[in-house]
Amino acid sequence: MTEKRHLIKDKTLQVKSDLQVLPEIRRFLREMFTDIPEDPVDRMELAANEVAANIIKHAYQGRPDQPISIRATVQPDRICVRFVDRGRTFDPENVPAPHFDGSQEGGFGLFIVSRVVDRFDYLPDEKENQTTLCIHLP
Amino acid sequence: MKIRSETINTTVVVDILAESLDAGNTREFRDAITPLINTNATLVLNLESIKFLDSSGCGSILSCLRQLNAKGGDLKVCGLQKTVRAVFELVRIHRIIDIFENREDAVKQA
Repeated sequence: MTEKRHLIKDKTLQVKSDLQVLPEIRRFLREMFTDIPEDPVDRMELAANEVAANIIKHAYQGRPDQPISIRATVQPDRICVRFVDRGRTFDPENVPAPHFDGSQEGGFGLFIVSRVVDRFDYLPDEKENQTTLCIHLP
Repeated sequence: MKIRSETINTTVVVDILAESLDAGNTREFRDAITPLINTNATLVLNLESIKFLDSSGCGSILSCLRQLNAKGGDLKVCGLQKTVRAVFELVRIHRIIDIFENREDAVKQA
């Protein structure tokens, strides 16, 4: 994700694939990004929460005991979060764009992520999938 | 999920007493709200305690709107913190649900 010499902070959280861990993930990120301006941290918190929920609900299909690794880094010009999971892969290009007329109650997650981060990289693999989010700092 | 509800005329006002509405507690939210969805009634959701809302939380609010509309009722929302309002605007909920500054304003307009 980054070259070591550019990292100001670098910490990894390991969690199980249970939706009840979402607040713990958000707390971890808030603590990691405590010195960062509010707006990018709010956006990263939202995007990371969406990615984690997608991994739990879709990649692991609701199985609550699967591993998710979450690495948060602070660099001089950006904050990044990288997720690693071993669940099912998906093709972000095949996710339909949401309707905003109130006719659907789900399917907004990936749209939100794409709108609030500056970089969204998804690398699916047979062994493990990597999802990386980055936001440039003002 | 802890909620507090009161009926003012035909309006049901529901204070959501949680800090977040996310994929981890939307089922609890639906279970708490569904019994309060009455025919031809307006329901006001007071979200002032909510500091974090995600897409699942938005989905559960839209579900609430659909259930109310199906029974001839309506949904109004109030007390949005800045981060919650930002998510509402991202998924454009603010275009289909009336949003008020606080519960008094919402009840007045109900």
